[in-house]
Amino acid sequence: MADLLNVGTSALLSLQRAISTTGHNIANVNTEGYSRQRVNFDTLPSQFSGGNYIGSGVSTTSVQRSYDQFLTSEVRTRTASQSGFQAFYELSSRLDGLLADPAVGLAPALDSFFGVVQDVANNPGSLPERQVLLGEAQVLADRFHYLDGNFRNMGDELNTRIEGAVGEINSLAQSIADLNEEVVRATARATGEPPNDLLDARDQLINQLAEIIGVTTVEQSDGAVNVMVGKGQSLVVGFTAEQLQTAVDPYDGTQILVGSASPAGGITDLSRFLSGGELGAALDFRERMLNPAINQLGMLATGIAATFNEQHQLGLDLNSQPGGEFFLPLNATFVAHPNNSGLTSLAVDISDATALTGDDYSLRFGGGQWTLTNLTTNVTQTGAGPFAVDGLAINVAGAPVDGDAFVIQPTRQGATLFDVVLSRPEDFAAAFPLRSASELSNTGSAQIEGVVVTDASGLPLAGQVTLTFNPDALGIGLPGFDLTGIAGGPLSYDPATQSNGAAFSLGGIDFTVSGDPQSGDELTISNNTGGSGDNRNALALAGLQTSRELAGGTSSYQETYGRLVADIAVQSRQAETGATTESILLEQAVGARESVSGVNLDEEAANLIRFQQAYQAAAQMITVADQLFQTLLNATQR
Amino acid sequence: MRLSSAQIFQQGISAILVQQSKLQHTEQQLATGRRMLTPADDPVAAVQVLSLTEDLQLIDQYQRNGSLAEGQLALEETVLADVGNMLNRVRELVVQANNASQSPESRRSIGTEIAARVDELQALANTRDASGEYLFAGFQSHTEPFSRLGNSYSYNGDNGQRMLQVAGSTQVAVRDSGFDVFMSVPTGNGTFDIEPAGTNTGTAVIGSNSANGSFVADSYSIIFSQTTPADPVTYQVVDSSAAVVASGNFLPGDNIEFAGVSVRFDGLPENGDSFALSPSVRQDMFSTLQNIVGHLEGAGSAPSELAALNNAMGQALNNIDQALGHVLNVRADVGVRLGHVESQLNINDSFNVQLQETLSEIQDLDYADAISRFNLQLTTLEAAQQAYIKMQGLSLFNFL
Repeated sequence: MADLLNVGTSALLSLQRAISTTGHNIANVNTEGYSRQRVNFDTLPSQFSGGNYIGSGVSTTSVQRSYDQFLTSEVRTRTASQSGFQAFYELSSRLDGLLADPAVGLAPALDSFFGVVQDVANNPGSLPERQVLLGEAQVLADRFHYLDGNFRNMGDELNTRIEGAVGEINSLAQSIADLNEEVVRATARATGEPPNDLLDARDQLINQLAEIIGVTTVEQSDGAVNVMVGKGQSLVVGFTAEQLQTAVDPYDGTQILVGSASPAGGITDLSRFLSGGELGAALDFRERMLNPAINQLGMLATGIAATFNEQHQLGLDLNSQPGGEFFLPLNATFVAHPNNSGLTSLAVDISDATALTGDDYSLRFGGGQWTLTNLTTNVTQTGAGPFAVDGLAINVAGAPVDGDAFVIQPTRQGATLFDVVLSRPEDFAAAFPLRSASELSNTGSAQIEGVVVTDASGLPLAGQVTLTFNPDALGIGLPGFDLTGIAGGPLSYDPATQSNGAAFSLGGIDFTVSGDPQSGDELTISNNTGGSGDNRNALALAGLQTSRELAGGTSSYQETYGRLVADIAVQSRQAETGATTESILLEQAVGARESVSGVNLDEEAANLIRFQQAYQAAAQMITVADQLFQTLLNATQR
Repeated sequence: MRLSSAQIFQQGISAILVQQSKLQHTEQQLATGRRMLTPADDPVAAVQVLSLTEDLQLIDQYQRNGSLAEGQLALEETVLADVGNMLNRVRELVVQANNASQSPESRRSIGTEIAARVDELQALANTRDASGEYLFAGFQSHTEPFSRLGNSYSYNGDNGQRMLQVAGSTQVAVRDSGFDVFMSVPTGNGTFDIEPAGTNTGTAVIGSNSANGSFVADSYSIIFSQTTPADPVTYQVVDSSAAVVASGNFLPGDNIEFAGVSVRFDGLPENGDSFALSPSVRQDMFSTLQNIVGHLEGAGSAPSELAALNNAMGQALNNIDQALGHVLNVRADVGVRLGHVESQLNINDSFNVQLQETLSEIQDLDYADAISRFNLQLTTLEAAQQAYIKMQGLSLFNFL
């Protein structure tokens, strides 16, 4: 009887545990990261009695969680990459959205600006058109500032995000280290039985960490988990959490770096190594999309300012003065690393704005020479300097020390600084500085046309330049023009073969002569004083809109802007596709884990019934034992 | 596969969310009429839209430039027509003045009328356009191009010609400089010009003259001589180096021919009368007309004076014909440019339509497609919602 009672009691106790574990499962059906648990039953050792082994009941050996190490780490990896892609997509689609509205992009401002240049060309002497031109130029500048400002606001916001993410990483790392300690203690206390709920909580924390940054984990034999980020940078080791830190980029005061405390003081930059999760996405977005976008916009601004100014300065304004600067001339910016110890001075000039690429460069001294690296293409050149690369002229001077470094961001400030400096409408140079004429007394039909200035340094002319036709200018029978008023020998011109037009270039002045001159006929070039009706330079300036001025003569202004829009759009689209794919992969990974670890209420309901019935049966066993005992007592009661 | 309850819930919800976001995208497309809501929807098309929009703006601008060019050319055309009419009137007056029936007094009064015409010509040459610019001043459009000092006129403009952009690679000249229109008119018959010496005393009058074959450009003198009245009249032509080019006897009405020149003389020259023949030069219309006025005012009645007047009027007629021809050439040129602008405007118009079509194909929404898509998505969303409700209603606990 005692045995039966014992068997019944063991069953009741075990089933109670099973029912309460089922209840625990039901209770945690919505707890994130919870792995369903089940009770493992085991028969108690049987007793040898009367030549037979008699069973002695049941016991619970363990409460086990349904858990698959591989599926859990798959979910973690997918979480990091999905949340990374998602964050990248959100950021890039905001950048994309900035350029989406055709009314606020740069394109309409460029279009109207050049439209007004043509209006000025239509009526060069009129002040109202010129005034509108200055207004439209300001609108163009404002549009540059608007886009640039929005880009930079995103940069500021990224800084806040990065700081927030680093704070969160540090606090999660601390919590994981704390849980490590608890898990190790609890495991020891329960002599090897796993503290299921603590393990779930720790997995959940690591998963939260993976949303912010891609992690790798290594399980220790004592139950602790070590967590690494980036390229093996340890974040949690046993019971201690390392701290990530943020610091201002020494090369760019507007952006924040992530690193770890360096033994030498300061921080070691880890930004390049961190990937995955929201933090990885923020760093990646800044590196791959935002900074290039700012650079590209700056390159366009620098290019427009330089090429428009160049043509404008070849012209003559309404007061017959040489054209000045229309836009503020923009120059390259560079930053010296604060730790530079050598006495080095650097000068970076934009020698050819049409050859700029929008890339950044680093210049580092080591091994007795400078190394100039394009940070986008990683193309390097070495030497003592000066360097010429992509439209830049880089001059180094002084006594450098190994480790001295500069970062050159030629166009980073371009769009910020883009501005109109011409303030008076009459200062717009719509005219060309020179005009040409054939003298009334000429008896031949020679014409001089297309007088274009390519170099304004010799202007204004000291006096009139006269070309006098002389059949023997270059020797007997060698016809040409004798020159007065300008340096240069007689110009060879043979009416017999060249009457359809011959082009000449003299001291920065190009022109074409055609027709059949008679001996002594004069063609003249003189300063275009009072040429208020001349629109030739305005036409040349308007022509800049469609000519391919930038990127080494391959791209018009609009096309350069189009490339920026396309770059952003393509990356944003890729990020969207990536985010969609990653969401599906994550869903699948979660599904696979859930199929092992998730709680299914129907299943639990069935279990509940099963265990309840078994419990009722075990309780019946106690009754039976009691009745058996009573029967025995009754039988022996006399 | 085993499903967890949380997963069933989650999947149901995310299916609904996905459908909702698709529906919202279509709804946005329908609301804006744009196929692409952001460049990322179709990066290639986004760039095409940028470049097409720029092209459209340019065409708009070219159309505006073209209309302006039309207006300016039409104005110039009108002025040139007036100049032509005025020159024709002067020509009639000169023919009239050359008539033998006129007295010196009537000639003087014709001179007065021509003087008034010169003023008219000056006013025409100083025409301004709607924005106050002088049409015929070249680049110096704010300087009055033709000014008068005494009887001489001077041109204060330059040879500049304003061009307007009427298409991507087409510029059209919308002005002609005063130099080209009024100053640069060939004298004589366009090849050479003959002038009697002021000292002539005979009645020889230059008749029809023309370049006959290839004119050898040089200054020639035609000198008549008749030592005694009984001798025949002879002539001698010498070139600029005093070499004799031609010589012979002369009778009134004879053609003298040399070096590609053929010129007839009527009337009888006196001994020593001479005529200078030189290659045409360019002279301004004002001087041409002003010379006529001078000759008419100084008209006399002696035979030699009449001959001088006839010669002067003959020369003047030549010059006026040159001026008329010149103005007509310029007008024809203006007409050609006007035609060019008009055809360019038409080309631009059709190009505009074509670009609009392309742009619309790229960026505009196909409503039929979008609406049917919208309905489909709506149905899908409803189905997802109903399926979700049904799924959530299932539980074994309902039966406990």
